[in-house]
Amino acid sequence: MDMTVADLGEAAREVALSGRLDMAGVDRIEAKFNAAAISNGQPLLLDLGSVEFVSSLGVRMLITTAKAMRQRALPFVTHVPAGPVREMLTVAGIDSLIPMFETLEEARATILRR
Amino acid sequence: MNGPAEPDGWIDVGADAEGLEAARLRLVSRLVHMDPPPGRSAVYAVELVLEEFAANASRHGGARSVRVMALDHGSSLELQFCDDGAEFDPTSATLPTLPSGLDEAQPGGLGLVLMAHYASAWSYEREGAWNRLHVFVDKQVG
Repeated sequence: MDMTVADLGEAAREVALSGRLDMAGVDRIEAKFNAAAISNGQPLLLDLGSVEFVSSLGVRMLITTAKAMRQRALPFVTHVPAGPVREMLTVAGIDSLIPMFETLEEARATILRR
Repeated sequence: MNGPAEPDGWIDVGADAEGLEAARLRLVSRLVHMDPPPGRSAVYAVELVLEEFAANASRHGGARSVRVMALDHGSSLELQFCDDGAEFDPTSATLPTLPSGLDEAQPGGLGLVLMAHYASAWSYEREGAWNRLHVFVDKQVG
């Protein structure tokens, strides 16, 4: 599991994950992700476009992130293209908890508007 | 290892992330040799069921030994899981309701929901000190 971080000007932070958000992936990335994505005090766009697998531990990380961002009154959206990952997150009910956009353009437009 | 007498084909699933990953890779290498091999969505389902089962068996059931085998049934495949944890029949468990909002959302508890969704059928039996779970997954070829 790898992570890249980019700022959308001063308006928001975009964090892209790639690889597998499974037991090993979450172990490897969670602390680094929290520091980059939550603690910096900006709205967050989480790009899961290059994530090939998410398990319930990955879902737990997303829920924890969403709660932390809401506590800080900061917007949080995700880019999740159509495919098995999006299907899994829908089965897990995440689509009703966290905005999920099928294209990165829609996700960026939304986070920059908020 | 003690337990029910089994034919070759069992894959030991380690309790930690490394052990789980090693088992996943071995399991996937079995899938690609099936006839026909399962589609991408079916492979995802298999990997997900493996991780959710292994996590539940060791974390909640206290299992020290977890094994899995994949069997080819043509248009579907069967995962057989065997563990020495506390007696537990997931096919009879009440599934948690999905949260309607972030306030209700708990970080855990989804494993059974996911397994029930991705299995086209499943069955359970207890053999002595062992749980045995059969999970059927459609191959979704094409």
